[in-house]
Amino acid sequence: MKTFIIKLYIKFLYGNISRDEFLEMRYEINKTSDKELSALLEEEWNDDLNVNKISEKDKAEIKKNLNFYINYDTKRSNKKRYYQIAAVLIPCVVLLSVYLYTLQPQKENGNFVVEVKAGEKALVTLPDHSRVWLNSKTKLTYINGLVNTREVKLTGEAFFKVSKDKTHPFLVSMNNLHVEVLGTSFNVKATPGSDLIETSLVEGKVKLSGVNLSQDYYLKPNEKAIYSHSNKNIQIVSTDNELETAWKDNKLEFKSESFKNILTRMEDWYGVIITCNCPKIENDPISGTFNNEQLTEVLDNFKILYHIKYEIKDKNIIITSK
Amino acid sequence: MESDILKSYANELRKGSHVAFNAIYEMYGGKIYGFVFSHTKSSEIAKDIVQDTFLKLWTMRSTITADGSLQSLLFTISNHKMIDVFRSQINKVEFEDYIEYSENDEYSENSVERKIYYDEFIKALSISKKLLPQRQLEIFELSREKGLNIEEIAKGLNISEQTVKNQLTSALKTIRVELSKHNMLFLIIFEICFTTYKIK
Repeated sequence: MKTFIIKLYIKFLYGNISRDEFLEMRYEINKTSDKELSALLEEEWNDDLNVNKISEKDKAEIKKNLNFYINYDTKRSNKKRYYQIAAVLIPCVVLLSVYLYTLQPQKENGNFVVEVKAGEKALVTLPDHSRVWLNSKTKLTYINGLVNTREVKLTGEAFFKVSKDKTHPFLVSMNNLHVEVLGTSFNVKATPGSDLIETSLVEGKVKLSGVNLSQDYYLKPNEKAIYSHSNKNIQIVSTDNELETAWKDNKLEFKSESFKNILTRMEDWYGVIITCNCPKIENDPISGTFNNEQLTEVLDNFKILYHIKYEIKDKNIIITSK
Repeated sequence: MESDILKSYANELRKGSHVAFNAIYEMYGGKIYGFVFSHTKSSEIAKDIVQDTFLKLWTMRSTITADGSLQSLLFTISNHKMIDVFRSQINKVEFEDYIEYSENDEYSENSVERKIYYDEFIKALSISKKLLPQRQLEIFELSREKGLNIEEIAKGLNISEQTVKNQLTSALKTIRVELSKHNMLFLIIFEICFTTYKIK
């Protein structure tokens, strides 16, 4: 690069270039290749020009943003050295866009793990472009490095929209139960500690199999398979998919569920602990839909309907009858 | 060149240490900022690139090698972005205006006013422009942003050159007054800029 241009460039950096000199420098730089320009910049970079100091305020602001990100990033990483993960978790109720990405491709066959805490939900895109909505208190492990199949392990509740790939079946495995699909959408609920695993099909076709099952089962749309760990069998019933998958659209929906049950679901949904001193209404069946509503709005509804009082202390909510 | 401390920071960062990450930020955050700022004269752009660069450093931490220099690594990470913003910034019409303004700024070295940088310049200019009547704004933009001369503007709008001159003069008057509220310097500078270069 011509020396006089370098002189102009230095003048520009120090902010004492004239308009005419600037136009000349710009003309030359526009003709310069990225590679050449990069070399010029690098020389300056190593020279420490020491002008234009960052303000303490800006410095602190960026640091805060960075630390917010890395703390978040570190929390998400699995302790057991499963490599990469990720899902941007959504505070409270808002289920928005979330994505799965790979931080560092590892040579080892590390698995992708996404874990969603109570009060949060997530939407992840798997490496095969299948999308999975994860409900609160759910853990999904994507087994990496398989050649002929795609496989995930699930505890908790998830709604799958599996990308079509007939040559690579998609397998969801829970304790003793496997759901195999070729490209479809369905909801699976395998709450840890619960005796039942529920699979509801929205569209397509899925096959259920398990070590404890004498035969394979196939589900049709609008059917639900209920697997019982203790009875080691499957019951197929017709179901209402809107109700089954309402959670993924941020709708807290219940049909004739007991008040007690609903409070348990609300604990997971909002990530709170609810104590109910209201034995009289505990078993009342309740139906209703809350569309993306705040916890207090839901509680206020109950307050009016069931004549209760509630108190919120941090994450603890105490409900008492009036 | 780099001290042992830096090497150990690099090592710790690879293992995911927040302390090392923050220490590296303390050492190099300001350097990247100053570097980008001197190329763009914009604090907003400089802040963006500092943040981007360190996020990338964090995400690629596992690939850091002990013998590599952090200084070159940070340059490599931000290099493409820096070249992009540098090229795009110097080719903006407003940037040319800003340089014009800065050049004249030097004449008032004794002034107690602090130096105005690109972001503030653009902000003050856009506020001022809102005050212009439609026709004046149109003529001002043709002159400043499209870089047309008075003759071209007159032809394009099918009005006389004298009308263009008059409209431009009153537009500049409004802008001068408004800019002066942001910094007294503008009052003098803009007069010099616009009268010298545009209204001959």
